[in-house]
Amino acid sequence: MTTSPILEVRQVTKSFGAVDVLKGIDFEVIPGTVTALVGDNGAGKSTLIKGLAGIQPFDSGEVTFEGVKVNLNEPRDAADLGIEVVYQDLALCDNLDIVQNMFLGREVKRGIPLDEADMESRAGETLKSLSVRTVKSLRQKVSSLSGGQRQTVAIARAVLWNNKVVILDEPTAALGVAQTEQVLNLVRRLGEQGLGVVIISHNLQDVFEVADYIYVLYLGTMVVRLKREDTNPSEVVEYITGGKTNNAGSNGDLV
Amino acid sequence: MNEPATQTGALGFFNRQGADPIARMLGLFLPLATILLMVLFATQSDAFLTLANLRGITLQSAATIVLAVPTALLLMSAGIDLSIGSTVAVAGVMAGIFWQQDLIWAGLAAGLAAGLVIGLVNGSLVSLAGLNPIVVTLGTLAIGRGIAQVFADNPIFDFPEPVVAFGAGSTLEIPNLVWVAIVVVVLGMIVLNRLPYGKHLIAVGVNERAAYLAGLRVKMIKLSLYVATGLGAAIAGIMLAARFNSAPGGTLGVGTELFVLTAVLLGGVPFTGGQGAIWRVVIGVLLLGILRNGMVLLNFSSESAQIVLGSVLIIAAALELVRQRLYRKQ
Ligand SMILES: Nc1ncnc2c1ncn2[C@@H]1O[C@H](COP(=O)(O)OP(=O)(O)OP(=O)(O)O)[C@@H](O)[C@H]1O
Ligand SMILES: [Mg+2]
Repeated sequence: MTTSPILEVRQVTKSFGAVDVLKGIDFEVIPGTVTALVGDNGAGKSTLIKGLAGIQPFDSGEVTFEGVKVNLNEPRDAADLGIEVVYQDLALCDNLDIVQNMFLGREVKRGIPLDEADMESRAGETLKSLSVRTVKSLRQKVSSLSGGQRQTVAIARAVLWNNKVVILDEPTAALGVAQTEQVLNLVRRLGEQGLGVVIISHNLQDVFEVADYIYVLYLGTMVVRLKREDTNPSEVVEYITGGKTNNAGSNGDLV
Repeated sequence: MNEPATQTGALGFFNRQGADPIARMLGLFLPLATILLMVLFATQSDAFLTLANLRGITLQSAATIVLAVPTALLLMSAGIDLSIGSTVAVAGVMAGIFWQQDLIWAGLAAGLAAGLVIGLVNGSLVSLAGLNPIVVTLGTLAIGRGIAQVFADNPIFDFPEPVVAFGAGSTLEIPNLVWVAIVVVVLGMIVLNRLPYGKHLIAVGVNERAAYLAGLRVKMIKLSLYVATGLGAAIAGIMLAARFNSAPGGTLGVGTELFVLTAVLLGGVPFTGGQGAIWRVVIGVLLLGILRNGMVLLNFSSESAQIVLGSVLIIAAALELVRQRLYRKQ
């Protein structure tokens, strides 16, 4: 039943000066599933993601993608592999429209010039495939969009180019109830489309709603990996706060 | 080309941007101001609306346009190059030195190489070393002028026949230098509106971090834009040297940076970057060219012309600020 992981992280470390923020982390992402990464403020979640995105390369350890060892030294490296990160603060270009943001850095060309018509129709199809119907025009500047719509564009961008792994850092933190529900639906659909999805969230209700696996990071150490159906929010909270530690080893294996 | 689903069509980003009311207003304001200015000068001076004079304005504006197009692209990416006036002189002088020896192609290559080198220096210091562009290019402005003066110690003039003929001549009734400007404008439009690079440089101007995170080679984009302004300035310097049949290192291109930046700002490219259109920049250059020409015809002293030009720069900046404020309120 288990598929082999598309992304595997082994014993990665990261320090800032004297502070060890990641102390030898193991982590894996299985295609077609949603993996949640939880942990208290400062646990190192964003740092792990930034390493995978190539923004802040790890100090040591190994990352394999589709079974091949890879180097992630630049955002471009991650993008080339098909790893897309949706950042906590949504790195979108306000002055550009939806289509331009979705295709930034991966524009479709007809020979040498841009193919605006094709990009526009593909952006439209992608949004439709994600059941997004709330945006009025694809040529709206993203500065005119609501928080949820911006989040949607950022996620749609991730789906557009056949990305294989999509990582979302707190995608619902700034959203209202209805918008949160929309985004969570979107996250679930990404998993159903066969992508490996990673979601960081402080909201355990959200986590339990979408995640297949839950990793808990505590002060730079991965304390446990849980299957959603084998656990419950209060157990996860205990791991998050350090009230419960995993005796089975540094990386809790599935039972 | 197929018509895409939404109303705006496959016109390219900047035409589409014209759809927002304030940008459209500014788009109209600029041609209107130009026409008003022409009417004003025409009523004040009989010499203004003559074919010879209008031709003179276009000819004078040709080198400025060649400078303004890459400068506009650089500004759209939120960069700035103050050194262009001196690069004009260095390139003109380098070309002139070879031309005096009857080495036409070598002169051309030397001029372009000078622009390339200055562009690479500016670009590396700003983009790779991370120094402030105003500081760096102010430095190269001074250095370039010094170099041009050193090499132009003996007067550089009296160039080979083909060079002079090119600088003064016309093809199909249009001055050769204007043809060069037309080619540069068309190239600028293609780069900005039709190539991914155009979108990328705008993205760098809007949100450098987002551009980087999207996987763009931000440093290379910035570097290449400084090389573009260096090359643009070199071509302009070569054009001017050919037109004047001389390359005075001390005065060639002096103050050009002020003129070009004013034109680009008038043309609706904010110093904060992230937007702009080539055609508006061209109108900005022509507007300033008409202003300068009219002031000459009306016997303004060069000092008062200088004051007017400086005032226009500040007014252009103020207009831009108002536009941004209005835009944000929307
Ligand atoms: N560039 C940096 N320089 C120094 N310290 C850093 C840097 N980035 C992160 N840290 C530190 O590393 C630790 C982990 O930060 P990280 O952002 O990964 O936490 P997080 O789990 O994402 O927290 P949150 O839930 O608040 O987003 C924090 O103590 C933080 O102060
Ligand atoms: Mg974080």
